[in-house]
Amino acid sequence: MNKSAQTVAKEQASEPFTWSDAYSVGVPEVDADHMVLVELIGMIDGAASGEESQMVVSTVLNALYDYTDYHFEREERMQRAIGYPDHKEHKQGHDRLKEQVMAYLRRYQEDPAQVDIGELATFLRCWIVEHILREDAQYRPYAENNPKASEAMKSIGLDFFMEKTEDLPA
Amino acid sequence: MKLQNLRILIVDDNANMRRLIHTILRSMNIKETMEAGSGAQALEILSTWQPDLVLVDYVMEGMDGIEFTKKVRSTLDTDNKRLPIIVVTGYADLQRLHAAKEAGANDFVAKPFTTKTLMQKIVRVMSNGLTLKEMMEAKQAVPAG
Repeated sequence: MNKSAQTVAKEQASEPFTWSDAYSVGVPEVDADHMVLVELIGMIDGAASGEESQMVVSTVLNALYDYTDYHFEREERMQRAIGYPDHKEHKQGHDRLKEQVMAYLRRYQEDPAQVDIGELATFLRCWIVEHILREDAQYRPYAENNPKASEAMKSIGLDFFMEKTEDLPA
Repeated sequence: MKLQNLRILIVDDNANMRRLIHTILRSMNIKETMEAGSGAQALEILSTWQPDLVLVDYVMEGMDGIEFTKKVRSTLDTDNKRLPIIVVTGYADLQRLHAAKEAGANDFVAKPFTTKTLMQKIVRVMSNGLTLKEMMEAKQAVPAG
Protein backbone atom coordinates (compact mmCIF):
# COMPACT_ATOMS: atom_id res chain seq x y z
CA MET A 1 0.00 0.00 0.00
CA ASN A 2 1.33 3.41 -0.92
CA LYS A 3 1.79 5.84 1.94
CA SER A 4 0.40 9.34 1.53
CA ALA A 5 2.82 12.22 1.09
CA GLN A 6 1.66 13.52 4.47
CA THR A 7 2.51 10.23 6.19
CA VAL A 8 5.91 10.14 4.52
CA ALA A 9 6.65 13.76 5.46
CA LYS A 10 5.61 13.18 9.09
CA GLU A 11 7.73 10.04 9.36
CA GLN A 12 10.69 11.94 7.97
CA ALA A 13 10.14 15.00 10.17
CA SER A 14 13.17 14.18 12.30
CA GLU A 15 15.39 13.63 9.25
CA PRO A 16 16.90 16.39 7.10
CA PHE A 17 14.48 17.33 4.34
CA THR A 18 16.31 17.11 1.04
CA TRP A 19 15.57 16.80 -2.65
CA SER A 20 14.74 13.38 -4.03
CA ASP A 21 14.74 12.42 -7.71
CA ALA A 22 11.26 11.01 -7.07
CA TYR A 23 10.07 14.66 -6.93
CA SER A 24 11.03 15.32 -10.56
CA VAL A 25 8.15 16.49 -12.77
CA GLY A 26 10.08 16.03 -16.00
CA VAL A 27 10.80 19.72 -16.67
CA PRO A 28 14.34 20.73 -15.57
CA GLU A 29 13.37 24.36 -14.89
CA VAL A 30 10.49 23.31 -12.62
CA ASP A 31 12.71 20.79 -10.83
CA ALA A 32 15.35 23.50 -10.24
CA ASP A 33 12.70 25.75 -8.66
CA HIS A 34 11.41 22.91 -6.50
CA MET A 35 14.98 22.16 -5.34
CA VAL A 36 15.33 25.72 -4.01
CA LEU A 37 11.96 25.47 -2.22
CA VAL A 38 12.89 22.08 -0.69
CA GLU A 39 16.22 23.54 0.46
CA LEU A 40 14.56 26.57 2.08
CA ILE A 41 11.92 24.46 3.82
CA GLY A 42 14.63 22.06 4.99
CA MET A 43 16.40 24.96 6.72
CA ILE A 44 13.55 25.99 8.98
CA ASP A 45 14.11 23.46 11.79
CA GLY A 46 17.87 24.03 12.01
CA ALA A 47 17.42 27.80 11.85
CA ALA A 48 14.98 27.74 14.76
CA SER A 49 17.39 25.96 17.06
CA GLY A 50 20.59 27.80 16.07
CA GLU A 51 22.08 31.19 16.88
CA GLU A 52 20.20 34.39 15.96
CA SER A 53 17.23 32.10 15.39
CA GLN A 54 14.60 34.82 14.95
CA MET A 55 16.56 36.64 12.28
CA VAL A 56 17.45 33.47 10.43
CA VAL A 57 13.89 32.07 10.56
CA SER A 58 12.42 35.43 9.45
CA THR A 59 14.86 35.58 6.55
CA VAL A 60 14.07 31.96 5.57
CA LEU A 61 10.33 32.77 5.60
CA ASN A 62 10.89 35.94 3.56
CA ALA A 63 12.94 34.00 1.01
CA LEU A 64 10.38 31.22 0.92
CA TYR A 65 7.54 33.65 0.27
CA ASP A 66 9.53 35.49 -2.43
CA TYR A 67 10.61 32.33 -4.19
CA THR A 68 7.19 30.68 -3.93
CA ASP A 69 5.67 33.76 -5.56
CA TYR A 70 8.27 33.64 -8.37
CA HIS A 71 7.96 29.89 -8.90
CA PHE A 72 4.15 29.90 -8.95
CA GLU A 73 4.10 32.72 -11.49
CA ARG A 74 6.45 30.71 -13.76
CA GLU A 75 4.60 27.43 -13.28
CA GLU A 76 1.19 29.00 -13.92
CA ARG A 77 2.43 30.58 -17.15
CA MET A 78 3.89 27.23 -18.19
CA GLN A 79 0.60 25.43 -17.52
CA ARG A 80 -1.29 27.88 -19.74
CA ALA A 81 1.37 27.58 -22.46
CA ILE A 82 1.15 23.78 -22.58
CA GLY A 83 -2.66 23.79 -22.49
CA TYR A 84 -2.97 22.05 -19.12
CA PRO A 85 -6.76 21.85 -18.67
CA ASP A 86 -6.78 22.12 -14.84
CA HIS A 87 -4.57 25.20 -14.59
CA LYS A 88 -7.25 27.29 -12.87
CA GLU A 89 -7.75 24.78 -10.04
CA HIS A 90 -3.98 24.42 -9.71
CA LYS A 91 -3.63 28.19 -9.34
CA GLN A 92 -6.20 28.19 -6.56
CA GLY A 93 -3.96 25.78 -4.61
CA HIS A 94 -1.02 28.13 -5.17
CA ASP A 95 -2.99 31.15 -3.96
CA ARG A 96 -4.06 29.33 -0.78
CA LEU A 97 -0.48 28.33 0.04
CA LYS A 98 0.82 31.87 -0.53
CA GLU A 99 -1.81 33.21 1.86
CA GLN A 100 -0.88 30.59 4.46
CA VAL A 101 2.85 31.34 4.22
CA MET A 102 2.16 35.08 4.46
CA ALA A 103 -0.04 34.51 7.53
CA TYR A 104 2.74 32.48 9.22
CA LEU A 105 5.26 35.17 8.30
CA ARG A 106 3.16 37.99 9.75
CA ARG A 107 2.45 36.03 12.92
CA TYR A 108 6.13 35.23 13.33
CA GLN A 109 7.12 38.85 12.82
CA GLU A 110 4.52 40.04 15.34
CA ASP A 111 5.55 37.51 17.97
CA PRO A 112 7.81 34.51 17.24
CA ALA A 113 6.39 32.70 20.28
CA GLN A 114 3.01 32.51 18.50
CA VAL A 115 4.42 30.18 15.84
CA ASP A 116 5.27 26.55 16.48
CA ILE A 117 8.26 26.17 14.16
CA GLY A 118 8.17 22.36 14.20
CA GLU A 119 4.52 22.47 13.14
CA LEU A 120 5.27 25.04 10.43
CA ALA A 121 8.16 22.96 9.05
CA THR A 122 5.99 19.81 8.98
CA PHE A 123 3.13 21.68 7.31
CA LEU A 124 5.43 23.00 4.57
CA ARG A 125 7.12 19.63 4.04
CA CYS A 126 3.74 17.93 3.73
CA TRP A 127 2.46 20.64 1.43
CA ILE A 128 5.36 20.58 -1.01
CA VAL A 129 5.70 16.79 -1.13
CA GLU A 130 1.95 16.36 -1.58
CA HIS A 131 1.77 19.16 -4.13
CA ILE A 132 4.67 17.90 -6.22
CA LEU A 133 3.73 14.22 -6.09
CA ARG A 134 0.02 14.65 -6.53
CA GLU A 135 -0.84 18.01 -8.14
CA ASP A 136 2.25 18.73 -10.23
CA ALA A 137 2.41 15.10 -11.39
CA GLN A 138 -0.92 15.71 -13.16
CA TYR A 139 0.62 18.10 -15.68
CA ARG A 140 3.66 15.91 -16.37
CA PRO A 141 2.10 14.23 -19.49
CA TYR A 142 1.51 17.71 -20.97
CA ALA A 143 4.89 19.18 -19.96
CA GLU A 144 7.52 16.47 -20.31
CA ASN A 145 9.53 16.79 -23.52
CA ASN A 146 7.38 19.77 -24.49
CA PRO A 147 9.63 22.69 -25.56
CA LYS A 148 6.82 25.12 -24.72
CA ALA A 149 7.16 24.17 -21.04
CA SER A 150 10.82 25.20 -20.73
CA GLU A 151 10.24 28.24 -22.91
CA ALA A 152 7.41 29.50 -20.71
CA MET A 153 9.40 28.88 -17.51
CA LYS A 154 12.35 30.85 -18.90
CA SER A 155 10.13 33.73 -19.97
CA ILE A 156 9.89 34.92 -16.36
CA GLY A 157 13.38 35.69 -15.16
CA LEU A 158 15.06 37.31 -12.20
CA ASP A 159 13.63 40.72 -13.06
CA PHE A 160 10.53 39.37 -11.36
CA PHE A 161 12.13 40.08 -7.97
CA MET A 162 13.25 43.57 -8.94
CA GLU A 163 9.87 44.50 -10.37
CA LYS A 164 7.87 43.31 -7.38
CA THR A 165 5.92 46.29 -6.12
CA GLU A 166 4.46 44.60 -3.07
CA ASP A 167 7.23 44.09 -0.55
CA LEU A 168 6.99 41.95 2.53
CA PRO A 169 6.33 43.53 5.90
CA ALA A 170 9.56 44.91 7.33
CA MET B 1 26.65 42.83 -15.50
CA LYS B 2 24.79 39.53 -15.31
CA LEU B 3 23.82 38.44 -11.82
CA GLN B 4 24.34 34.77 -12.62
CA ASN B 5 27.97 35.39 -13.56
CA LEU B 6 28.87 36.97 -10.23
CA ARG B 7 31.26 35.32 -7.80
CA ILE B 8 30.35 36.09 -4.23
CA LEU B 9 32.15 35.46 -0.94
CA ILE B 10 29.81 35.02 2.06
CA VAL B 11 31.42 35.80 5.42
CA ASP B 12 29.42 34.97 8.55
CA ASP B 13 30.22 33.05 11.72
CA ASN B 14 26.66 31.70 11.84
CA ALA B 15 26.61 28.57 9.66
CA ASN B 16 22.81 28.66 9.28
CA MET B 17 22.93 32.22 7.97
CA ARG B 18 25.79 31.39 5.58
CA ARG B 19 23.86 28.45 4.17
CA LEU B 20 20.71 30.55 3.89
CA ILE B 21 22.48 33.37 2.03
CA HIS B 22 24.05 30.75 -0.26
CA THR B 23 20.57 29.37 -1.06
CA ILE B 24 19.09 32.84 -1.60
CA LEU B 25 21.94 33.63 -4.01
CA ARG B 26 21.30 30.33 -5.77
CA SER B 27 17.64 31.32 -6.06
CA MET B 28 18.96 34.36 -7.96
CA ASN B 29 20.86 31.94 -10.20
CA ILE B 30 24.21 32.94 -8.67
CA LYS B 31 26.05 29.67 -8.43
CA GLU B 32 29.66 30.62 -7.81
CA THR B 33 29.98 31.35 -4.12
CA MET B 34 32.44 30.61 -1.34
CA GLU B 35 31.85 30.74 2.38
CA ALA B 36 34.06 31.84 5.27
CA GLY B 37 33.23 31.44 8.96
CA SER B 38 35.43 34.35 10.08
CA GLY B 39 37.09 37.52 8.82
CA ALA B 40 40.50 35.84 9.02
CA GLN B 41 39.34 32.88 6.94
CA ALA B 42 37.81 35.29 4.42
CA LEU B 43 41.15 37.11 4.01
CA GLU B 44 42.84 33.77 3.48
CA ILE B 45 40.32 32.90 0.73
CA LEU B 46 40.84 36.31 -0.87
CA SER B 47 44.54 35.60 -1.24
CA THR B 48 43.74 32.84 -3.75
CA TRP B 49 40.23 33.61 -5.08
CA GLN B 50 38.94 36.90 -6.45
CA PRO B 51 35.19 37.30 -5.99
CA ASP B 52 33.19 40.16 -7.56
CA LEU B 53 31.52 40.97 -4.25
CA VAL B 54 31.70 40.17 -0.53
CA LEU B 55 28.72 39.89 1.82
CA VAL B 56 30.10 40.20 5.36
CA ASP B 57 28.29 39.99 8.70
CA TYR B 58 28.75 42.98 10.96
CA VAL B 59 29.00 41.07 14.26
CA MET B 60 31.52 38.23 14.31
CA GLU B 61 33.85 36.78 16.90
CA GLY B 62 37.41 38.02 16.41
CA MET B 63 37.54 40.22 13.31
CA ASP B 64 34.11 41.79 12.75
CA GLY B 65 32.69 43.01 9.45
CA ILE B 66 33.95 46.56 9.96
CA GLU B 67 37.50 45.51 10.74
CA PHE B 68 37.41 43.13 7.78
CA THR B 69 36.26 45.93 5.45
CA LYS B 70 39.03 48.25 6.69
CA LYS B 71 41.59 45.49 6.22
CA VAL B 72 40.48 44.88 2.62
CA ARG B 73 40.50 48.60 1.83
CA SER B 74 43.98 49.09 3.29
CA THR B 75 45.71 45.94 2.09
CA LEU B 76 43.97 44.36 -0.89
CA ASP B 77 42.45 47.25 -2.83
CA THR B 78 44.51 49.16 -5.34
CA ASP B 79 43.95 52.57 -6.94
CA ASN B 80 42.36 50.86 -9.91
CA LYS B 81 40.49 48.08 -8.20
CA ARG B 82 38.19 48.14 -5.20
CA LEU B 83 36.44 45.02 -3.93
CA PRO B 84 32.71 45.69 -3.48
CA ILE B 85 31.59 44.90 0.09
CA ILE B 86 28.06 44.80 1.51
CA VAL B 87 27.80 44.66 5.30
CA VAL B 88 24.95 42.52 6.65
CA THR B 89 23.66 43.38 10.10
CA GLY B 90 20.98 42.35 12.54
CA TYR B 91 20.86 45.77 14.14
CA ALA B 92 20.49 48.57 11.64
CA ASP B 93 21.10 51.71 13.67
CA LEU B 94 22.76 54.97 12.72
CA GLN B 95 25.91 54.14 14.65
CA ARG B 96 26.45 50.96 12.66
CA LEU B 97 25.59 52.64 9.38
CA HIS B 98 28.17 55.31 10.18
CA ALA B 99 30.80 52.68 11.04
CA ALA B 100 30.14 50.82 7.77
CA LYS B 101 30.35 54.08 5.83
CA GLU B 102 33.63 55.13 7.47
CA ALA B 103 35.16 51.66 6.94
CA GLY B 104 34.53 51.99 3.19
CA ALA B 105 31.63 49.56 2.74
CA ASN B 106 29.59 49.88 -0.43
CA ASP B 107 26.26 49.15 1.22
CA PHE B 108 24.49 47.94 4.28
CA VAL B 109 21.64 45.41 4.50
CA ALA B 110 19.57 44.69 7.60
CA LYS B 111 18.47 41.21 8.63
CA PRO B 112 15.86 39.89 8.17
CA PHE B 113 15.97 40.91 4.49
CA THR B 114 13.94 39.92 1.46
CA THR B 115 15.30 38.52 -1.80
CA LYS B 116 14.27 41.73 -3.52
CA THR B 117 16.19 43.92 -1.04
CA LEU B 118 19.37 41.85 -1.30
CA MET B 119 19.13 41.73 -5.08
CA GLN B 120 18.59 45.49 -5.32
CA LYS B 121 21.64 46.14 -3.14
CA ILE B 122 23.82 43.77 -5.19
CA VAL B 123 22.64 45.28 -8.48
CA ARG B 124 23.21 48.83 -7.21
CA VAL B 125 26.70 48.10 -5.90
CA MET B 126 27.74 46.20 -9.01
CA SER B 127 26.33 48.90 -11.30
CA ASN B 128 27.97 52.01 -9.93
CA GLY B 129 30.60 50.69 -7.51
CA LEU B 130 30.18 53.65 -5.17
CA THR B 131 30.81 53.31 -1.45
CA LEU B 132 28.22 54.48 1.10
CA LYS B 133 30.38 57.53 1.76
CA GLU B 134 30.61 58.45 -1.93
CA MET B 135 26.87 57.99 -2.36
CA MET B 136 26.10 60.25 0.59
CA GLU B 137 28.55 62.88 -0.64
CA ALA B 138 27.03 62.72 -4.13
CA LYS B 139 23.55 63.22 -2.65
CA GLN B 140 24.72 66.24 -0.66
CA ALA B 141 26.32 67.75 -3.75
CA VAL B 142 23.01 67.78 -5.61
CA PRO B 143 21.23 71.06 -4.86
CA ALA B 144 17.75 70.57 -3.40
CA GLY B 145 14.68 71.46 -5.47
